[in-house]
Amino acid sequence: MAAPSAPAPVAEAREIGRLTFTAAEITRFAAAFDPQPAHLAGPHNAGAPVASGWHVVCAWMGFFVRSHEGAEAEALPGDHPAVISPVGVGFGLKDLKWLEPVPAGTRLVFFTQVEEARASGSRPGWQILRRCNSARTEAGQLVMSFTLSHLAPMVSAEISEP
Amino acid sequence: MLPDFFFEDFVPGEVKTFGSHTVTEEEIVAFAREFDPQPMHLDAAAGAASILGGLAASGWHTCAIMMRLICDSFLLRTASMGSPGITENSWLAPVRPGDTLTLRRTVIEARTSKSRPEMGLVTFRFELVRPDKAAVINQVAIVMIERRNPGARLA
Repeated sequence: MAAPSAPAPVAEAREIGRLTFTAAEITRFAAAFDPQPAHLAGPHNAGAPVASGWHVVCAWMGFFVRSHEGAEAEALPGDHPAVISPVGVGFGLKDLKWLEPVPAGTRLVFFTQVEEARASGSRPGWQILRRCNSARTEAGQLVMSFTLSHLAPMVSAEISEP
Repeated sequence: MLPDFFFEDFVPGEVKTFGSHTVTEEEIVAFAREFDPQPMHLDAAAGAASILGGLAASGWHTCAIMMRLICDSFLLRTASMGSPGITENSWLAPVRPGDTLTLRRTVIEARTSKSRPEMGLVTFRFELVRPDKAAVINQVAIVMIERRNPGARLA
């Protein structure tokens, strides 16, 4: 196993996935977590609900985590932090903006971009990252953005945290 | 259906606690499988070995649980026009199976809009609090809310 090393270099914006928000998925999320009428299908919106802002953010997280599942981790022991917590834990977020509605049928593209990376002072092998994240329509219109700060495991000198 | 609450009903400084939700292992795992599939949120052994020291909910799940409590406590009865966003959100402690979380709402600011006299912007602090009084999440959110008396001069 490689020794913990320097924190990751700052990266460019990286696409992590694309998702079409269907009426069925929008209403399923909304029924569980955000049952405001706009997010549920009905006569008031001609059966075309608008996604909960939290649905958009949670979908971003799903892609962010899955985009870390790679061959790199396979050589690590099963209890390595990079295996059991590939993206680590969040401290918090700032400036989460819901800029445009996401009606059923919208396809969004999700991005992340590291703005700052530094080694944790108190936890060897971990780094503290600040990253700007976003979702855009396929035409490029910005729909959602936020800045996330999180504590992430470092894997090795060769593996960057994109 | 006429809403119960309009912009004028949210008074800066007011603090209220509302309903609660008890988190289960099943819902932690179900949420994580879809939106945060890190092993520490999916499996008790991985959780115990992790930095969280035990199975704990995704922070995004905690946000979602809080949104549901916000809806059920007052938002579904409020003349809400949506939210432009969250100013800040801090995850303060792991949320474990069995934790009972109560919503605490503080009205930080309420201001009218010159360009849109039909509405005002209310800034809330939302927290989820455990029975031991510790907050596990602290969020500052802005909600656009219709005015009961659009354009009226406020005292």
